[in-house]
Amino acid sequence: MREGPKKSKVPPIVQPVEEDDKDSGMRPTTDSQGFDHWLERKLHKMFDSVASEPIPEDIMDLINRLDEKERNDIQKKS
Amino acid sequence: MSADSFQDLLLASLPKLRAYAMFLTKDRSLADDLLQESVVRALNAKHQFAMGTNFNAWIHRILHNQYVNYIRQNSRNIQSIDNIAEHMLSLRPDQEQKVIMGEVIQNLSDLPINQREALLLVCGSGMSYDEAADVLNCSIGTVKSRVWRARRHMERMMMNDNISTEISTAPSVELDCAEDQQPYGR
Repeated sequence: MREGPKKSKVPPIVQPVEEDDKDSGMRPTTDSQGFDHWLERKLHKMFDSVASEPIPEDIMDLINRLDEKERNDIQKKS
Repeated sequence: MSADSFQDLLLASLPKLRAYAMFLTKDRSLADDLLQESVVRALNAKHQFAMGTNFNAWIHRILHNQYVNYIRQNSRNIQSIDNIAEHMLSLRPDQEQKVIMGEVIQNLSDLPINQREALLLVCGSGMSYDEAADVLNCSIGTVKSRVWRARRHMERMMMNDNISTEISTAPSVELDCAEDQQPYGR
């Protein structure tokens, strides 16, 4: 009986799953695509961190004040 | 145009706009000044905004133009990124995270401005290339090119910080393509 092709003892080359995929904070992979994903996650995180801060009160006041003024102007005209 | 809907769009855009200003200017107080000026300009120019078009790109373009004006007027007085970095680092309890975030922020500051803008808009703010091109008033191809160069620059810097100084002064990295030589000359 003929044997089938022998199985290689060498394990298939599998790209290791980077721990950073879970955002563990580890350094990026050495391939460019992996780096691009890593960098994008970091930048998103940085953006989210700042974006979650409250908007300064003076800017909110400015928007509300001007909006209120405009409403009053519209009411006066009508 | 409804004033409320304009205000809603404005309010919704502010958090990411502020983050963009923060990482663009590298200075918290300057970023807030820029944000405030942009809000005033947006409110004054609201009749120019066509409802149904991309408000986010419109308001980012206003801020971009404000920043370009600032750079032109203060080209010798660009401030350090340190106060942003310190703040970001204070948010991270883990030491490794602190170090890496610090490196990302520092390396961002070493990018040429037009590359930094493109990278922040596309990879930080999550804009499409199309939207970023609208903000930066350039072609989609130019945005793609700038983002690609920014990524490779960051990759080199992050992979080997020991040669970061060498890279940041290398002509091949510092010099942009011809159309990028005058990004604000339009």
